Amino acid sequence: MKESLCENRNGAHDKLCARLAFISLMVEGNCSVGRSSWVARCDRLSVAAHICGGVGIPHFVRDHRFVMETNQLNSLAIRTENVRRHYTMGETVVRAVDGISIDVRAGEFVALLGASGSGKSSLLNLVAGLDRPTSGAVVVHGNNLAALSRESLAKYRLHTVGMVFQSFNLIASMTLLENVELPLRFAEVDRGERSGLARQSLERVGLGGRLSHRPMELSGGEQQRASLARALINRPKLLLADEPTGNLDSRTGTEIMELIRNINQTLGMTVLMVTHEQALAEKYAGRMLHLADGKLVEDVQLGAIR
Amino acid sequence: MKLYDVTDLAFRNLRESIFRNSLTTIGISVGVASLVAMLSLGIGLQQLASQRLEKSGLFDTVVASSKRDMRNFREAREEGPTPADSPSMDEAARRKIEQINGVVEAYPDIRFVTELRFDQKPHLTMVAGVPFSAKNNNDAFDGMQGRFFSSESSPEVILQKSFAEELLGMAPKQGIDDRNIADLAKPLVGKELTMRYAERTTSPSSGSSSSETGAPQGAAEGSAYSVVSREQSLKIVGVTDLDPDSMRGAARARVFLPLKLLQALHVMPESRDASANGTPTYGSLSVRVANPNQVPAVEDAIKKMGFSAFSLVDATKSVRQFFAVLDGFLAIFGSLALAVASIGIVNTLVMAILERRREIGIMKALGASDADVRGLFFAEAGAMGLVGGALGVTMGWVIGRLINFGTNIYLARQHFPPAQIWSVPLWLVLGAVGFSLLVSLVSGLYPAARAARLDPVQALRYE
Repeated sequence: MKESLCENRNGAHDKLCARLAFISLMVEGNCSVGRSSWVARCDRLSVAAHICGGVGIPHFVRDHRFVMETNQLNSLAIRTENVRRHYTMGETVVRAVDGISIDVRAGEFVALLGASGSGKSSLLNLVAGLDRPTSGAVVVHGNNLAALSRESLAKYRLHTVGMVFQSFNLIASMTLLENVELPLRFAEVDRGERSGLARQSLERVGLGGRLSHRPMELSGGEQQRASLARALINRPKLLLADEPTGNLDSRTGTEIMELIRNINQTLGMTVLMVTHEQALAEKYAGRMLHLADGKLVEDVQLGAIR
Repeated sequence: MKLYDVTDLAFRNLRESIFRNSLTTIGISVGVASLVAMLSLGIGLQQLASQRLEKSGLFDTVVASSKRDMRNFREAREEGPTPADSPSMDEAARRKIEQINGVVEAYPDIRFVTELRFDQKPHLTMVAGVPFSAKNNNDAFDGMQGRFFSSESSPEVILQKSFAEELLGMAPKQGIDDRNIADLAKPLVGKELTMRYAERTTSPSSGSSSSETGAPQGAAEGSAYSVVSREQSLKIVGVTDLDPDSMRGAARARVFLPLKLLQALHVMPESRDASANGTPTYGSLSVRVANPNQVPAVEDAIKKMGFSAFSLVDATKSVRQFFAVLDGFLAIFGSLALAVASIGIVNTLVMAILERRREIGIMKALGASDADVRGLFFAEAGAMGLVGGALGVTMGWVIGRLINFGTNIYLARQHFPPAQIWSVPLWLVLGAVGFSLLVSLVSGLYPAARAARLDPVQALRYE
């Protein structure tokens, strides 16, 4: 699988090829996101998909990134093993997450659903490396987050995770460009390179003309798109979204969800999204995890791989 | 994060709360200014005192004399030969002393009481010889009216202020004498006065003026000499405010003549003794040393030659010690304001943490490490310290100048010469800015650590 996409023509592989073809069509149909490396990647995916239809895969598409991404599709991205997160408030113990075990494969789009206080945001924070479990393990791409030092956890957040929040969490005193550049500063990317990358990222989400605007000068949808651009700037493996449409009207919310779905499908990026809107989850996610009182109560697969 | 990015973000954050941060920075600068002003005055006073003391000749001079003069002082317990065996302080000895390493010059102390006639009136006073080198290294002649002697042995005289007043028939003033020496010098400079003195000669001679052959008296080891009464007319060239020798002895001279001239005149009493070969001897020598540090070595060398020697070098140590203590106190008082300012930094940064709690949470969620957050707050504290330090040094400099200016106005009113009581050396500028930076960074320690420890989940929930 790692070496060649089309040598092994078993059923699983055919399914993958069909999926790639679907993604490429989707992407080609939605390349309004920008003329960037995404487009190049879309092209490669479409080439791969068509070739998988019969002719065979040329060598140039077997570049490392492509192979890695396709390889990721079947590997485990997130595994939580009986993870618990208990807080003490005075004399009361709050069991925010209470023994959840889940596996999320790379490239999956998983929605975490549940009422307020069900523990979905707490679980997301554990996967994001913002919080540490009271017990159990959170393993992301082979790294047990509970065992990482504070420094390594910060590096994990910087390089492996991209986060989108309900309240956008853009820094008000910075322009959009500076906001998107911020993770690159933490990653010690050179100044000259940084600006170009941030610009490209904003252009991809359709904010090329708003680079020097401050967040307060933009609509909610635009702010969330900028937040997405910032989340993706360091090319993370996971996109974690905490109620990304919670502060948006339905039309803007749909725009954002389409964008997230594109990211999931074109880049093969694993998406874990917290929402309380079941309809939204059903429309965009491939899998729904229902939580209640810190426990997993239902795991619904919506499609083979979406 | 790279240093550039830390600095850039720190200045951006400081600009965001410009008013509050400016107030904190001004607080630091006031602290630094008080420190700089205090220390600049301390240093200025120290320099002023050192200059005065150095020019007074107190600390670079060793007074050497023969122990023969102390034959009757049994309590003098010095090492070396007994007074009776001590060599004579003659010209050969003077030359030998001048050869000692570090000695600039060795000249005899010649002073005597004699009569001076001016305007047909006799005036009795103490006359002293002044070496020609005093022109540059004795501050008594700095503020004089007229000029210094034109040559080493020119028949010229410089008068002390009180003697000038006496010559002009003015009554000496009680309390602070605020008479302007320029007014005293005007009617006197260029005029002549006549000094009457007794010359000691080895053989009887006829004087050029009204001569009077003296009988040999007190001849030692059989050598005979005679005393001739002579007169020397002298031209008044200057009037000085201070007594150049006031710090060296109780006997205050009021009339100063070139030393070489006095030596050539062989004025009695030239010595109380005479050396074996009959050449005149000196009562004592003033030995000027190039550097005050060399004084003990020179003193020892003179003692080894069999002479008695003393200096006031230990007094310099006390003076330096006094100024070290003074500077210490001034620095402590100056630092108090800086200590208050450092509390201001802590307060400002802790406030900034509260205000930017959510921002810190966002940065951590985006991948900022504890070190990044700590570095950012550290840089903000450092930037305030650096800017405050630079501003404070400028303010301190201005305050020091104003105090100096005010003091000089006061001195001028009291008819004292102007003095530089304030000095801001480069080390003080750099040290003050460095100290301000250090204090700010120390003040930033706690807020920076607190910001770095912030729980990102809690911080992101903060509204």
